[in-house]
Formats: sequence, C-alpha cells, structure tokens
Amino acid sequence: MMKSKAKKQDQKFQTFLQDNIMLFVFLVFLICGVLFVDKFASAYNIKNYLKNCAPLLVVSTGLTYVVLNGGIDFSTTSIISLGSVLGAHLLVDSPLAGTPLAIPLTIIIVVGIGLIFGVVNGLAVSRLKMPSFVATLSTQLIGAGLAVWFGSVLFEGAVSLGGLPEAFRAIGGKGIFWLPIVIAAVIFLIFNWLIRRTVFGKQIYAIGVNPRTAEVSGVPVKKNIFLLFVISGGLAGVASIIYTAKNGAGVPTMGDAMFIDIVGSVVIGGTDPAGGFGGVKNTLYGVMFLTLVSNILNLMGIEWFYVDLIKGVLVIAAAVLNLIFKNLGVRGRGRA
Amino acid sequence: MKKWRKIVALLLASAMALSVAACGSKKEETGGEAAPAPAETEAPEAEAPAESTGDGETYTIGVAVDTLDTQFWMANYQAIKDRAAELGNITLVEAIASADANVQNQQIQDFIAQGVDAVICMANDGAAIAAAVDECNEAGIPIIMNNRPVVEGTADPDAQVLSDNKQMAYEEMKWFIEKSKEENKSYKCLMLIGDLGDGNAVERRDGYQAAVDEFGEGVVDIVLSVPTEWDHEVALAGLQSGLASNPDINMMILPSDFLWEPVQTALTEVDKWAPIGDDKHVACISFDGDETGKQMLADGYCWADAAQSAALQGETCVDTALSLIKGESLPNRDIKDSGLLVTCDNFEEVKDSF
Amino acid sequence: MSTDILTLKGIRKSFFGTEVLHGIDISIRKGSVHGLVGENGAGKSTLMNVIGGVFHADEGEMMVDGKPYLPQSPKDAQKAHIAFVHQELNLFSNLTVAENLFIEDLPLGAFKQVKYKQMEKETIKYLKDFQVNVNPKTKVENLSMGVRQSIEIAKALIINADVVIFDEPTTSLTKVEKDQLFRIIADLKARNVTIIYISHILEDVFELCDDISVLRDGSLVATMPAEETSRDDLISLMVGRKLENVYPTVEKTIGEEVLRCEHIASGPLVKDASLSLHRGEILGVFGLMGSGRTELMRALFGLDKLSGGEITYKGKPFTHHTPKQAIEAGIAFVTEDRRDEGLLMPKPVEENLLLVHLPALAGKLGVVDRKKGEDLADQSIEALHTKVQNKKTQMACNLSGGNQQKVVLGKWIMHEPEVLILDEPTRGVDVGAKYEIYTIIQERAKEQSCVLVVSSEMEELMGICDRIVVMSAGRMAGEIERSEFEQNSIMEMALAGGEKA
Repeated sequence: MMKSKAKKQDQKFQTFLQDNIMLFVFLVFLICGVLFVDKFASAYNIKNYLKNCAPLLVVSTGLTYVVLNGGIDFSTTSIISLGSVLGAHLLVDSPLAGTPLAIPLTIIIVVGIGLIFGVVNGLAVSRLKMPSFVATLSTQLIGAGLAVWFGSVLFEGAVSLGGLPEAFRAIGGKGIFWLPIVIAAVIFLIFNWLIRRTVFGKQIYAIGVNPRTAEVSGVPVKKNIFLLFVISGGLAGVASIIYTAKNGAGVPTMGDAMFIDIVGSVVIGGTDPAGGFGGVKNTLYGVMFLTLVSNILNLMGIEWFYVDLIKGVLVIAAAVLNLIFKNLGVRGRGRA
Repeated sequence: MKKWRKIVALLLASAMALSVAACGSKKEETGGEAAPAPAETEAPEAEAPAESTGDGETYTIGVAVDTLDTQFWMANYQAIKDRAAELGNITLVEAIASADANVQNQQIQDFIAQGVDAVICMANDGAAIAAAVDECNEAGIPIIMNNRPVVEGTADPDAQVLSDNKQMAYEEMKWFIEKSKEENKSYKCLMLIGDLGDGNAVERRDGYQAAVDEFGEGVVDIVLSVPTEWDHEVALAGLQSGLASNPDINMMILPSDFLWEPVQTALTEVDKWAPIGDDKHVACISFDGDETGKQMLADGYCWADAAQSAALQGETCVDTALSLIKGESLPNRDIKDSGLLVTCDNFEEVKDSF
Repeated sequence: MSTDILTLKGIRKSFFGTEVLHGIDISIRKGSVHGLVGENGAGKSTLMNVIGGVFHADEGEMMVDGKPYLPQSPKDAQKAHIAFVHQELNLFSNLTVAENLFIEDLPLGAFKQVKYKQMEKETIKYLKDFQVNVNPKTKVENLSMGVRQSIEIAKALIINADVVIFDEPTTSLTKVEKDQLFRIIADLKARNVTIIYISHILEDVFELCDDISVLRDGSLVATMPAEETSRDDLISLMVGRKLENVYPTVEKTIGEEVLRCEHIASGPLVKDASLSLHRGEILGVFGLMGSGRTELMRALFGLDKLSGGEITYKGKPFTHHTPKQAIEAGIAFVTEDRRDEGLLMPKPVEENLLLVHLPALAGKLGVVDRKKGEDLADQSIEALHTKVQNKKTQMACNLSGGNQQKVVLGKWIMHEPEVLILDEPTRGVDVGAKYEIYTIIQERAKEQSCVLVVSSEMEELMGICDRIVVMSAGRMAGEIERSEFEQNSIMEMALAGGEKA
C-alpha cells in the first residue's frame, strides 16, 4: 500500500513535470538571470519585462486557439499594424479626437477590426474549407496593404502618427505601469479558463485530435472552428491597442516583424502545432521564456548578430525538449 | 528508460541556461562595468545619475541603431566608434533594431536598465520613438537624436544632431535653377521621395518644393513625385512607371545618394543614362554626398549633391552626449549641420573635403 | 497435380492471437476460372492477401507452377506473375492512363527521363485488346469505373500474369460494363490465363467459373466443379455452421413504434430503404458488402445527406437533421470504425467517455462540472466492466479492442439515448468482451431503449435480435421474426437482387 501511494505521487510529479516543462526551463533561466546578469533584478527592468510580456501574451493567447486546431493565423500581425494606424488617427485627427468617448470608442473599433478579420478567416476555413495557411496569409497581405495605404495615402505626409493622448498611453503602461500587465493577466485568466473548463474548450481539444470523431459525437465542428479565428482576430486587436499605447504612436508596420515571436511563444510553450494538445497556460510559459531571453541578451550587451543566433538555438532546444517529453508516451499520438 | 530521458532533458535545459550565463559573465569582464552604478538597483529616478563630473571617470553610452545599410550610416556609425575610442573614457553599448520601432523602444529601455549614462539614437520611426525619449527623460538620462528627429512636438529629446535638410535642399535647388536660367534650359522633373516616416525625407522634399515654388517658374516643373520607402525595389518600380508615362522627363531629384542604383537602372532601360553634354542626358541632383555621389559627380552624371557630413554628425553626437552627461547646457537643442553644397562647378576644389 | 498453377497446403494465419485462417488446402487448375465464395469475414480477403504477399502465412506452404512460392512482398507476387484486380482499384486518379499502366516500371531513356511517346504507344496497344478506346493521356479521375477496371486488368497483362485474381469486381459496374468484363475474362481464359474470381453474386459465379470453393469462418469447406453443385448447396455450405455460441437473454416487453423511415435514398448505395423500430426492440440489419447498411445508418443519424424518403421519430417528422440534433433528440450512433470516428485515440479514457455528454454537464457559462463528469465516467467503467487502470492517464490507443469498444459504447450510453444505432459493435473484439457487449445491448433494450444493430455476423444477429431485416443492393430484401430465424433464408435474401439494374 505504501509503495503504491509513493509510486502514485511520483507519477503525479512526473506528469506535472511533463505538462509544465517550459515553466521549469523558464525558472532555471530566471534564476540564472537574477544571479549572473547585472541589473536584471532591478525594479525598472522587471517592470519593463512584464510590460513587454503583456501584449505578446494577449495576441499569442488568441493564436493558441487556432494552433490547437492544427491551424495558423498569419493575419494577427496585420491586425496589429492596421489597428495601430487606425487607432492613432481616430485618437488624433478624426472627429472623435479630444472627445471623452474617444478612447473607449477607439478601443471598440480597433478590436472590432480584429474581429472582422477573424470572421472572414473563420468563414473561409470552416465553410469554404480553405486551409488556414492560405486563408490567413491572404488576409494578412490585404491587412498589411491596408495599413500602409491608410497611413500614407489617405493621410498624406507622415506615415506614423504620434501625439496620442496621455490617458490612452496609460494602457501601454505610461504612468500606470501595471495597467497593461493587469489587462494581459485578466485576458489570460479568462481564456485559460475558457479552454480548460468549458464545454467549448474541451470540444476544441477533441476537434484538434480528430474532427470526424468530434462530429459524430455531436460537436458543432464548423461553428467551433469559426469561433477560433474570431478569438484570434479579436485578441490581436486588443494587442494592437496595447502596442500602440506602449509605443505612443500608430505605426503602419507595427506588427510586421512580430510573427516569429507570436508563433514562437505558442510552439515553445508546448502547444502541438498538429493540434489537440497544449493550451493557454503553455503559451504563458512560452511568452515569458522568449521575452526573458530577449531581455537577458540585451542586458548582457551581446553584439546584435549573436542575439538572433542565440534566440534561434534556444527555440530549437526548447522544441526538442518538448518533443522528448511528448514521446515519453503520455502525450503520444498512439498509433498502437 | 523514461527516467533517463527526463534527466537528459533537464540537463539540456540547465546547460542552455548556464551557457547563456557564462556568456554573460565573460562579457562583463571584457566589456567593462557600466558607469558607476548606484549600489541598489532601483529604477533611476528623475535626478540625473549621481556621479557624472570629473575626468578620469568612464561613461557608458548606449547607441541605438536602426539599420546600417547605407554608406551614410556606416560612416556615421564608424565616426561614433572612432570618437569614443579617441576620447578614451567612453564605453559603447549597441543595439540594432532592424527597422522595428517596437523593438527599438525595448532596446532603449534595456539601455536604461543597464544604467547607461546617455543614449545616442538613430530613430526608426520619428513618432514611435517618442515613447523611448519620454523614458529617458524620466530616468534622467540624456538622449541625443542622431540625424533623424522626433516628430515635432511629440517628445523632448535633450539634443538633436540634424542635417538642415530643408535648407540644404532649398539651397541646392536654388543653385540649380539659377544655373539653368543662365544656360537657358528648362526641365520636366521627376522627384523621388524617401520614406514618409522619416522626417529627413519630408524636409528635403519640402526644401526642394519651396525653392521650385519660389524660383522655378518656367525653369523647373515637377511633374511627378515618386515615394520610395527608402527601398531600391520600390524606387525602381516607381521610376519605371514614371518614365513610361512621362517620356519627356529630363531631370531627377534624388533625396539620397542611396537611390543612384535604381535611377541608373531605370534610365539605362530607356537609354537615357548619359553624362552632361550628351543629348540624352537627364539632369540629376542629389543629397548625402557619399562615395557614390562623389563618383557620379566625377563622372558627370550629377549636377549637384548636398553633402551631409556623416562623420561630423557622428562625432558631434558623442561630444554632445559627453557634455550633457557632465551637466553642461546647450545653446540650442537642435544642432544643425548645414552641410556642403557640392556642384559640378566646385567639385574639383572641394572633392577631398567630404 | 501437374496441371495446377497454384497450390496451397495448410495455410494458417493469426492476428493478435486470433486465428483467422485454419489450415487452407486449395488447388487451382491451370487455365480455369476458379470461383471463391463465402460470407463477410469468412477469410477471403486474408487468403488473397497471403497469396499476394501482403501478409505472411504463419504456417503452410504455397507453390506456383510446381515451384515453392514464398512472397515477402507484393512485388514478389508480381514476379511470380500473379496479378490482382482489387475491389478498390489501385489506380492513381490524378495520373494519366499511360502513367498508371507503367507506374511500376516506367520506360526510361539515357538520362533517366520518362519515354512518354513509347509509353503511350504501348498503352494504346494493350487497351486495344480490351476494345477500350481511351486516350492514354486522359487522367484516370475522368474515367468511368468500367474503364478504370479495364486499365487495372491491362496492368495485369503487362506483367504477363499467369494468374489474375478478381476481388468482387462487379460491385461498381453497370450492366454493360459487367458484360464487357465477362468478355475480357473469357478472352483471358482463351489465352490460358488462370482466373480466381471472388464474388458473392452467385449467378455470376455459376456463369463464369469452372470450379468453386467455399470458405466459411476461416476454413475451406468444399471445392468442386461448378456443374456438380447448385445455388442452394452453396448457400448451405456458406452458412452451415453449428450455432454454438451462447447469447444472453433478458425479459422485456416491446412497445410502440419509435422510429420509422420510408423509402430512404442516400448517396450511391442506398436506393430505397424502409424500416420500423419499436421501443424495447433489438432490430438487426444484415447484408453483404455494398448492400448499403452502414450508409443507411449514417443517413438516419444525419451524417450523410438524404436524397429521398422520410424519417418519422416519435410520431413527428425528423428528416434532414444534423448529428448534433439527432443526439439531442436521443439518438446515438456507434460507428463501424472506432479508430477514426469513435475515439480520440491519443486522449485519455475519461475524456473519451465524456465527449458526447459534455453539453449536459455544463452549468452556467458552459463550465463543465468536473466532479459529476468523473463520477459518471467511473460509473460507466464499472457498469461495462471496462478494464482500465487510470481513466485520466491511460489513452484510448493503449486499450484492447474490446475495451476500446466499451469506451465508445460507454460514451454513448452515458447520454441515455432512446435509440441506439450500432454498426459492427463486436468487430475486432475478443469473445469475452463480445458477451459483455451483448449483455449491455440487452440491458438497454430492457430499459426501453430501441437498438438497431448492423452486423456481418449472421450468428450474432440471430443470437440477440428480436427481428432481422435484410438489405441487398440498397433495398430491403426481407424481414424475419425471431421465431423464424434461419441461416439459409437470411443469406438467400441477402444474395437476392445482387445484379445491378
């Protein structure tokens, strides 16, 4: 009896370890950072670190839903860019500018744009049966083009637009450093809860593993897949607001270089790109790890061409780590 | 079997972490400590860093670079490094943003966290950089804008070392117009414009336009403006369609010597690439004064080049940074380099001075 | 003996400890057309796969033309000049006719480039033999089934086959195409090619074959010249087993009609099907491959579209619904293929068990009541005697076939359906688990659910059903009450109407 109880506890720990491997890697790096990297543990740096994690966590959480279904959403970067430009103009030189409702309305409109992209993507994938790769790549290109057009053609002169109201910039952490962090934390909690505790969430895992079984078992497959893209688009819109506030300007190319970080966090965190395994919690680990690596490398003053190299190596190492744990049998695909 | 894999995996993770840490500590040994940092690692408050007076101290300057893909920037950057080496008491920390405004802001924040004494910044985006400038202000760290200004009114950097783009462009165009009047020539002109997010590009365009508006009646007619986003491919495409729709163009304005390559390609395609004196010649005036520009002047393709002093600006950034660190005040926030107008007339005389 | 082209002696084959071929002895005369008949599951496909080198026999020996024959792979069968025309044709639909014909052995030039012109010329030559006029550059996907089959046969000729095995060749052919096929077979025979012809359409077997062998439950029960036997004899041989298995019995009452479908048409296979299901009743649906039984069930459940007919459920019309609506109305469907449609293989047992019932476990905002779910899962495992150590960590793929099936059943039963549709519920299930599953089915019926069971095992249906309906070629071929259950008549009904109109 004693032996089996001990064995059960050992098994429980093993499972916990396997499910949360990236958390442990992150903690190891964190400790190394605190001990070995100068200035890492300063209040200023920690605040910045958390502020940098926040918007990335928001958009990556949205993408996690799509990846859980084995799909991808390229349009998130364009939503960030387009939202940034539109948002800035709404706040600065539209009829709304200066009115008390300007900020809330801007937020609603920018998130709305993200939702529209999500709806288009969702319909294309669930109804027209387009592969998500193709559908979201198309919307990404359209969105990126719109962002530049909006910035440079519609509004002549400058392309990026600064001078955003202080109250808006607070969303990015100006003055109230914890605001973006709290927003990201709330979104994380909501969407983690959604994927783990609700019928919808559990159905998503089922569809990700085997959509045919899911369909026969009464899961509304089409509707659910549609919703995944809406979530991804909407959260990208929220991230756009935070990025714009954080950088104090609407930049039409804001999101363009972000895709690696967004997808990287989801995959490094441990969500299986083939679908069915992983989750929002994993993405949190991925975001924190990736942002930590960037932060540490910057603080160490490493020559810039090493930074990308090191980041790439670490990404591969993390991916290999996830693969090793996956093949230990607990998370196998089971072609028995 | 399972247990072994688990151990290997954890070892792998620790190895990764330790190598990163080892890399870091090695860097610290060779790179030199950051400027005498306060013992506690609190966020630097509004007051300037405690010790900043007296020679014999070493200072750390964070150099935030956008991209190093033009001769101008490479010369500028090299000048910064040279000047710092020359002065001997300055350590440079660098970061390259690769055209990502978001990343650049993060990099400057990390400079602040490291406790640099000043920041020299080549801004990717004049509007977005305001956030970083604000952070530097709050931390009491002087920030000097290197050649690219912030968008007017959005932020308050401690200094800006700029080319007086507008004035230089204006003077250049004015000279060209007068020259053309002497020679009784008139021109249909295609004006290339740099990236519209770059304040410099906007100013140059404004300068050229102002001169044309004021003096150019009947002499220079700008029939087409082509934005280039500071990108060769975009420029070439615009040039090709521009030349196709306006085959009688016989003059071009290049806002930077960076754009000679697409201009040469496009003109060669329509068989109009020829030096002054030739019937097919298309008159070109340019900006920057880098090696390419020099060559074009020497070979007779270029009428005038408004030379920016890349090296001078780089040096000035370092010197200004040092002054600000020491607490000196500047006569003007904006330090304008009025450059050198090099023309086909005075080229022989001045060709060694830029 | 010396005139036998192919001889098998004592061939045995087992899968996962279950023997499916019990020492087959068979001799095929050279130049003859040899028919092979048997029920579904009798072992015909397995035997052909052994001959074709796909499976290795565990025991026994084979000889081709007097020489020992031990194929390690299909390529060895080819080298021995044995060709297959499978039921599902092995053609690449996106390649051309010529490419398909020569796919095994493309003619290559000096630089390893494909010699297309040569290929196309030879293709025309081969096809001419079959009076098939097809442009060798046509993509196979644009051709009718009959033409495709001719191409498959042509493939056989290219390897100079001495033996050609046809597996249920006429299921997708029109009458005209079938006549064409028979002409080709006659032609092949004239060239001294030996034919093995597997089919359940007894008329065709009698028309074509010189000899007939009957396979039943993995044993070869008889071989004789066609003229020495009759249709009735064959049927008796095919099904004439002693009904030894024991089936559970239960006391129950059968009540009012719950589900009725009339003149259902769906897809290519279901032409005109009607049945009626009563409360507490276990209704069996029997039929041979291609009769449309599975397709009818899928149409009833809402997985496939109906092109005709009406369904009435509990007195109200219930046509054109989605699976989700069917489930909400109380209908459950245990599909044929638990691997691809019944289970989430890499997921734990608990997750599988709760999949259908999830919406019912949800409280406000859709939050799932974990505790309740766990309890229900435990109950299901206990009630069905499912052998699983840890329902949260053990994945479905790590269970035995029988236990897997119990998980699928458990998943559906948890939702307490009123109509339970089962398609091959004991396929790949060991004997012990089979009995348990029959018990479960009986219990459900006793609890006043209705059960529809589709099965290829006649014995099983006869054991547990109250009534059996037989389908053949997409239509209803007959109905028998329990008191009149009789193997021959059931089989007779299944075989009737085998000709495609």
